Amino acid sequence: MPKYTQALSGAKGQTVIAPTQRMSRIDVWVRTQIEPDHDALVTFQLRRGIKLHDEIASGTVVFNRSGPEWQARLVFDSELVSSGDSLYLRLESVVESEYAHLHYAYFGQDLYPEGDLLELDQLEVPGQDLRFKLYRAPKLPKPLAWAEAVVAPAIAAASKSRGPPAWVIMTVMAITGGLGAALIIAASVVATQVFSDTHRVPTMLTIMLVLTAIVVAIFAGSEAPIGKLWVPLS
Amino acid sequence: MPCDATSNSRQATDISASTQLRLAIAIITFATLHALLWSFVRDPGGGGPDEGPYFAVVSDMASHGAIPEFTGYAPGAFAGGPVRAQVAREITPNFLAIPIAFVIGTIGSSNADLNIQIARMFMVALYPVTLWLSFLTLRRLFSDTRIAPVWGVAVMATVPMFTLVHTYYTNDAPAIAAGTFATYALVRASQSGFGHSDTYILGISLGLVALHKYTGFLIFPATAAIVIWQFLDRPRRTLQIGLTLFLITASISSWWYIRNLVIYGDPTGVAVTQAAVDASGGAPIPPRTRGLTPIAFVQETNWIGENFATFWAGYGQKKLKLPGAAYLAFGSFIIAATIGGALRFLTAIRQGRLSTDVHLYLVLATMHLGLWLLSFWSSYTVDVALSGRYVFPTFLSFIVILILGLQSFVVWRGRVAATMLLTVPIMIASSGAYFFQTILPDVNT
Repeated sequence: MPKYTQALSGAKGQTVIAPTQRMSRIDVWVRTQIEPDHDALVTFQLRRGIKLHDEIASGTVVFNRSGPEWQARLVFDSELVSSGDSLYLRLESVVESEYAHLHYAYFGQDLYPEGDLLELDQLEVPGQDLRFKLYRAPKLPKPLAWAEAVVAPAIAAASKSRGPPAWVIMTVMAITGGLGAALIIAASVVATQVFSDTHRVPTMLTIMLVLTAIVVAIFAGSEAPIGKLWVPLS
Repeated sequence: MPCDATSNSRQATDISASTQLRLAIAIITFATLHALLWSFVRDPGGGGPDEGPYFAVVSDMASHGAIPEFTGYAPGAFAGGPVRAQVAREITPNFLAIPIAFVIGTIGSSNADLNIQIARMFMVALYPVTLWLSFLTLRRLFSDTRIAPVWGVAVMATVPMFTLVHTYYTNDAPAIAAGTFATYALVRASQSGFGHSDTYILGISLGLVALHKYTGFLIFPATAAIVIWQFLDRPRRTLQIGLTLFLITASISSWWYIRNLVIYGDPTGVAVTQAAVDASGGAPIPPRTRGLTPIAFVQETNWIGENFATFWAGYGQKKLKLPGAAYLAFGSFIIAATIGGALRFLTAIRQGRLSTDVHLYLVLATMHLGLWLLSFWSSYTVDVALSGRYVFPTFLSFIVILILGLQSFVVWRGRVAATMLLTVPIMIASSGAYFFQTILPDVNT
C-alpha cells in the first residue's frame, strides 16, 4: 500500500528508465488539503537525467481544492522519449501557506529497482519509489489501437511471468471476449422475450445498448476524459 | 390449443430448459478461459497464497517418486511473522498432488516455471468441474425458477477470489472441487431417498473430500445430519446408510491417515506440526494462549474485515482488493439475503408450510456458517491465519442461502427473472475489468 509524503515548497522526483519506445504518459498520485481561497502550484517536469537540467517537457497545475487522491495523468509526445533513456520526473511545488497541503503517494519499499525517489534532487532515503505508472502510445491506428491497448498489457504480463507466447494469449482473449459479447446478446434476447410481446426489436436494441454502456463504463470508466486531472507536458 | 397456451405462458415467465443449459455452459466456458488467462499472466510461484511452498512439495514428489516426509522447520522459521503453520504442507491431505507430480515427473522440464504452469492447468481444469457440479445442484434445489441456477453459477464464475484460487497451484481448489462434488452428491442422495447408486456416489465423494484439505470436512457432520433427519423413524436404515458411507469413504481415504499414524504417530498432523512450530523457536503464540479474549483478537487482527474482504477478492492483507463500493454492494446483498432468509423461514414455520427440502437448506446454511466459525476458532487458537478463501469448499452452500434469501422478497419469474438475467453480463464484465484493472497491473508494476 502506498504511503504519502508531504511536499513543502521545493522538489521531489523519481528517476525512471524508459522501458519502451513511444512512452507517452506517466501517472502520479497527489493528495491535497486546501482551504478556500488558497492554492498550491506544482510544475511537473520530465527531464533527461538529474544533473543535466535537460528538460524534455513540462506542465503546471494549480490545485485550489482538496482531493483525497488525484491521479495526475502527465501526457507528452511519444516521440520525445526513446527506449532505455534515463529520465527524471521532477515535481516542483510552491505551497503558499499553512492553509495548503500537498502530499505525493510513494512506496516505502523498493518496488522499482531501476529508479529512486529523490528529495531536492538528492537521494536521501534509498529503496523508496514514488507511486507512478508508465504508459506507451499504441502502435496501431484506431480502432485497432483499442484492441492493442487491451491485449498488450496481457502479453507483457505473460511474458514477464514466462507464460505462453503472444498468439496463445491473443487467441484466449479473443475467445473470452467473444463469449462475453455473446452473453450480452443472449441475455438481451432472452430478456426481451419476457419484457415485450409487441416491440421486440426496439426493446432488444435498447437493452443491448444499455448493457453495452454499463460494460464500457465498468471497463473504461476510470479512463473517461471527464473529471480527471490531465496534465499536458510540452 | 391449451397445450400451446400453457407452453407460451411458461415461456413468458421463465426461460426454457435448453436456454438455461446453454447459458450455463457459456458462463462456465467463459470462466474457464478467464481463469486460464489469469494463470498465464501470474508470476510462477507468486500467483497466490503459498503457491511456491506448496509447489515445492509437488516438485519434491516428482523428483523422488514418493510423498515427502515432514522433518520439522528450520530454526526461527516463524520468528517475527504474524502466523504459525497449522498443519505442515507434507502432512495436509492433498491427493491431487500425486497425479500432478506424476505428470510433471513424466512430461515436465528442468524449468520450474514451466512445471508450475503445468500444475496450474490442473487447477484451471477443476474450475469448470466445480461450476458444473454447482449448476447441477442448484438446478435440483431451484427447479421452479430456471434463472436461479444460471445466476448462482454466474456469481461463482465471477467472484474474483473464487476465480483466483483456480488459477495458481494450491491445495484449496481440489478441496473446493471435492467439497462441491460431495454437496451435489448429498443433495442428489437426499432427494432420491438415498438410493443405492446415489449412496455409492456420495460415499466416493466423501472419500475424495477426506483426501483433501480439512476445510472441506464439515460435509461429514452435514451428511450425518441429513441421514438422521430423513430416517429418524428408521434407525436400521440410518445405520445401513451410515455404514455404507463409512466403508466407501474409509476404503478410499484411510491409507493417508494410517500413513500419518505410522510415520508421525499423529493421523491428522496437527499435533506434530504444532510441536515442530514451537520447537523452531520464536513462533508467535496463538492469541488464545496469550490470554486474548475473542473480541480483543477480532479487534487486533480486524478478523471480520479481512475475512470479508478476502472472501470476495485479494488474497492477503491489502493486496488485489476491489474498490470500496464493491464491498458495500456485496455487504448489502448479504444483509438483504439474511433478512429475507430469516423472514421466509420464520413465516414458513408459523404457517406450517416448510418446503420438502427444508432440511437440506438448513444443513447447507449451517455448514457454511459453521465453516466460518471453525475458521475463526482455528485462527484464534492455532495459527492466526486470516483468509475468506478457507470457506470456499462451502461456496455452493453460500450461493444456495444467498438465492433463497433474495427470493424471499420477490419470486424470480417474469420480469424479475429477466432483470436477474441481465445482471449476468454485468458480473461477467466486472470480472473482466478486474483482470485488466487489478490482476495485470499487479504483474506489470
